Amino acid sequence: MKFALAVYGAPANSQAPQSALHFARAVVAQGHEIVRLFFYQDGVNTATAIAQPPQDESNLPEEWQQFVQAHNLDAVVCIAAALRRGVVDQAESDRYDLPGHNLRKGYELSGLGQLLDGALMADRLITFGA
Amino acid sequence: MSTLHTVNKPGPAMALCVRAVASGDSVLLIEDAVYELLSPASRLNALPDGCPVYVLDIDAKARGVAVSAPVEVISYDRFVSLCVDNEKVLSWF
Repeated sequence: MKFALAVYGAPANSQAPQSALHFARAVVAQGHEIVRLFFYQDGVNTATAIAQPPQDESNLPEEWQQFVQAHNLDAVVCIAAALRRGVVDQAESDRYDLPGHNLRKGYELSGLGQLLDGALMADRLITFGA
Repeated sequence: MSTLHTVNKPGPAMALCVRAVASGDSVLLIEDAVYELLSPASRLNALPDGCPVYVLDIDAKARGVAVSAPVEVISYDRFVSLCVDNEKVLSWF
């Protein structure tokens, strides 16, 4: 079965990215397919490369990226939500003349339409709210 | 057509969920929604007959919430199975 997952909460102030990662691992373990990951609202902070959680805590952005890359997943970060929160890739950094970029490899900035597209492609859309 | 309703916090999210649940649907409490089980006047009592209620094991354990029948404690594997078994999944948060 095809799953799409939407994550609305940030690692630092919501359990959403952690719950979604547990769920995604179980989906893959059962042989199902994840056709789209969509990080929206505060969830875009899951894709930042420069957050450093304390060493005795789990590093969710790191764990998520490893999962995305290990399974070659289609991971989309909402571009409007990301820009307003300071999560940018090289292209957006250049466009707005910013001092750097911090979107982790394996993710792509794109529009909200990709959430709808994911919902249409998948048999089930599971949302992890903030 | 049955629906799995996931709820991640008590309060308004839970209240809205209960209003939308139809007979034959299932309800899964995750994250802070497990605290709903501590409330004597839980909104879960207002669910229609024949609506099973599930709780994620690690979320209940992390919060020290004891679960008793008829509420069923489940793993993430079972969460995925419930998504497969129900035609739709609605998330309340």
